[in-house]
Amino acid sequence: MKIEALSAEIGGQGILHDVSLEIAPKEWLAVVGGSGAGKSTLLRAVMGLTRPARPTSGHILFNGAQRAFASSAKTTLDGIAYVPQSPAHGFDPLRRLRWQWDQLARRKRAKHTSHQRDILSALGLPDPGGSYPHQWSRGMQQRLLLAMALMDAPKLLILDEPTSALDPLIASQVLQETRRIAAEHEIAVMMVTHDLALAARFAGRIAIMQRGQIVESGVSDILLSNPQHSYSRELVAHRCWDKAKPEISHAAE
Amino acid sequence: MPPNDPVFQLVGLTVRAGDKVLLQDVSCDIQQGRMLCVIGESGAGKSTLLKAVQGVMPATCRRLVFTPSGTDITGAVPTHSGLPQTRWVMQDPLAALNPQLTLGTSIQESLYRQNLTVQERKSAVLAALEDVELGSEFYSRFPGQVSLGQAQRACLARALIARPKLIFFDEPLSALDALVQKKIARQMEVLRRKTQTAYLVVTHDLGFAEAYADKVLVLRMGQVEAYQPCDEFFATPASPYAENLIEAARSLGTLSHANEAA
Repeated sequence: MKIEALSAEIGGQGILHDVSLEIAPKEWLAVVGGSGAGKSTLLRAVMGLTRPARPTSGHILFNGAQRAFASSAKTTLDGIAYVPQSPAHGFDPLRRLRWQWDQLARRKRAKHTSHQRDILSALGLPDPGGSYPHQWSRGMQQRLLLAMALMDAPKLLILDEPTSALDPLIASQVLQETRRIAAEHEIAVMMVTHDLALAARFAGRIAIMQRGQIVESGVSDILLSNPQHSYSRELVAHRCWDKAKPEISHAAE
Repeated sequence: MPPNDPVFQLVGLTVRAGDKVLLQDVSCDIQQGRMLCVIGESGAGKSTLLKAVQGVMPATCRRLVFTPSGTDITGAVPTHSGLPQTRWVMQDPLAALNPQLTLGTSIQESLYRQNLTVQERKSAVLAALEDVELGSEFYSRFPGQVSLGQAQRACLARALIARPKLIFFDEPLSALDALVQKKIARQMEVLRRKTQTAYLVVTHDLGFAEAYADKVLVLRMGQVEAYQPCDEFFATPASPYAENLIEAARSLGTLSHANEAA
């Protein structure tokens, strides 16, 4: 996938400025930035969503197809799958999970129900059957969303803040399963996160965003050991918690 | 008061909702100026613990001692008033601040019980803002005009200005992005040392606990899984569940060890 010169705005105010990105097949790219950096807008633009931020220029090349961001044609690109930040944004709470799964399978024209079952069991999930979203734990819901995203073997998987809604125990489980499946099916992953430590752990390449621009990008190890931009340097310096515990002075100790 | 005596001591806290036991026999204590981190997955009872101690939720305990006010309670934790000389800092600063009041007014409300002149109050608030690295221009700003991190700093100022002996933090950093989290955590630490306030922090971020906590309490489904000094917890966790938790945090890169290895 290649994004070239993407700009977007909300009501005349620029959100993204000339963002260009490239993801190679099978690559795991993390987009790291603080709140308001434009990470979500970038994802939404890639997914073909034009609200609330409207793309004004740029185009995307994906899997041989090209699409201008600003075009009004509502074309989503085949082969891109998306896992939202919170399972609450991914399911219709009033529909049975099985129904939601089947709807998606029909729309994606996913073949082989046996393959679908394989994905579920690979993620350690039961057949959703007649249950509703609220009957599943958040970790299970998140894994089911992942299974749905992987249903028709996408070329690119997009993860939006995959850990923020989850406890570390479940987050680590979900991400490690994602890593395994992505490697197995040769899926490229684009992960958006505010946590550089997490990005460094999973992504091969990192792009750092600040105020709607990519200020620096590079191979994770190199970027971590030698950040160039001042904002990247700050992120790298603060990527883990201050281990040096300051002395607490107690008069009587 | 000798500093090694706990400022806050809780023995055998149990919370029930109908037939369900939300918290079973939880005991912990905090010394003056120290930090206790309460860790656990969602639904483990972390917030229930906070609410019970503050009297928002009916609970029973064998003993609850809060030294500054001389409160020594056996039996049911009192409702309504909660514990005097304590303050809260909540997860979402924008939900905790009145959107129609300026930050200065919100912070001042902590001082209304003290007999101060308007001028004294204002200078106290400005000093508190300075403590959390907010300039005087924030005095007259509304919560909608500041970033989440700045709003959380204002909440911290509001809690500290009343000079409490103990502050309860409910996931104080989880609404903020990673960089802002670290800066505010450091600010919390500096102010804790300066004011010798005890902190009880509910969090699911083990990295934060590792860096700053003196003691760690792990809850799971209302039960205590581990209650250990911080260093001991990360070296030899008391239960397999706690061990899994540390392992998971390590695999996500949130613990400093993991970063050194990477």
